[in-house]
Amino acid sequence: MLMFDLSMILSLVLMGFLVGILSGFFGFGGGFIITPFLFTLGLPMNIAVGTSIAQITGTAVIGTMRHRGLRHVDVKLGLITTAGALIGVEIGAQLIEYLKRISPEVLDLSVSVVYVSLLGGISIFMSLEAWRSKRESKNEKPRSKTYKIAQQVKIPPLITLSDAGISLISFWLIFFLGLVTGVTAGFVGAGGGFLQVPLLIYLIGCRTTVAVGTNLFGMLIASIYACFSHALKGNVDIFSAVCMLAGSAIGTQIGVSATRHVREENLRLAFGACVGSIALSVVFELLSRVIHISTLGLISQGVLVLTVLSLSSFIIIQAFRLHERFK
Amino acid sequence: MTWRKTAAAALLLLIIFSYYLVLSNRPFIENLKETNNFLYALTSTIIMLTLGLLIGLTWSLLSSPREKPETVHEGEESEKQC
Repeated sequence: MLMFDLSMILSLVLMGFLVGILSGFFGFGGGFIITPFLFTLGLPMNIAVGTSIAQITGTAVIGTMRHRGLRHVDVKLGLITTAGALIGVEIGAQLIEYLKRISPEVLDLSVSVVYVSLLGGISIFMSLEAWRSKRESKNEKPRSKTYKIAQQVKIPPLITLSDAGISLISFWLIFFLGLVTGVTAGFVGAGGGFLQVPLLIYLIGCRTTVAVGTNLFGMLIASIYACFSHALKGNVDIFSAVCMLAGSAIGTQIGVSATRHVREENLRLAFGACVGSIALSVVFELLSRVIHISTLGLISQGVLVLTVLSLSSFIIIQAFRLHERFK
Repeated sequence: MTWRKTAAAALLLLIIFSYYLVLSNRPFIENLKETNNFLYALTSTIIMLTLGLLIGLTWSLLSSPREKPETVHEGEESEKQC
């Protein structure tokens, strides 16, 4: 149990604020920031993970409600992808068990390689695509080759996603997308938002803001179950979570408001930059473990802190510009 | 508009009261963690959901009608064609 003093409460609220901004803007939970932060505050790792999930539950409720108000959430799309993801997580976990039986070293190597490759690949792909769109000044939905191929899939039942603005798409395509996200989340242990948002944009053809809002909705469903499960095992420090929620209550609003002002390709560019920075941080962390140089571990944390601060500042400026425009 | 502000103010008070309830009952909740895991899990999940809902609802009431989805940034028209 943490002993609460004013500085502790303030740092929890500040962290909640910063993570709330990123969560509202990019649609992911922010566990990759909160968990190490709580760990450095002195919580054991299992409680840091559980508390981080409890905080994500509260933030996801706030973000989903706000995105829903802006019509950025397609409930049908969110429910189907989440159903696929729940099955996918189990497959991912089974894959982990299988590799663990072969050799723990093989498991570590596989998870690290898959995680870094995915983060790096998504970052490069999204950044390049968004940069090209920005240069050509076309603020429209990206139409990749994968999107055109995906549109050829006409396996019934075909459904219409009115809020996402998509008419007649195969149910199974969306379910498969959720399944892939779930397998990845179960395998690498990350939330999956970093993969689901790009898949919704480039495969299904969602607007970036709808992809962000819908991903947050899916995360809400998953995090309610995860929060209950972790609390049942005694892994949740509810007071730390409540303090962080106070900060993220304001941060999430800023993040969501900024999505309304920023151009779609800028949002994708920022998403690519954010995922790229996480990849860089993970690479430094892995290197520090492999070649046993503690400085690399510090650099990894530094990259993460710098990313959070710079992106939060960028989002606050965007939200402020929106406010000025409406004045 | 007045009713929205009044409702938001009432909700804000409710949020503060909820925070007070949670923080002032810390020993009781910690004791629950030791004695009844299921009840602790249920309480924790309900606390996070309730606070999230209250805060989300307050922001929805406070958000200006000018900020409704129709008034989005330039270039949006092209994206609505899908």
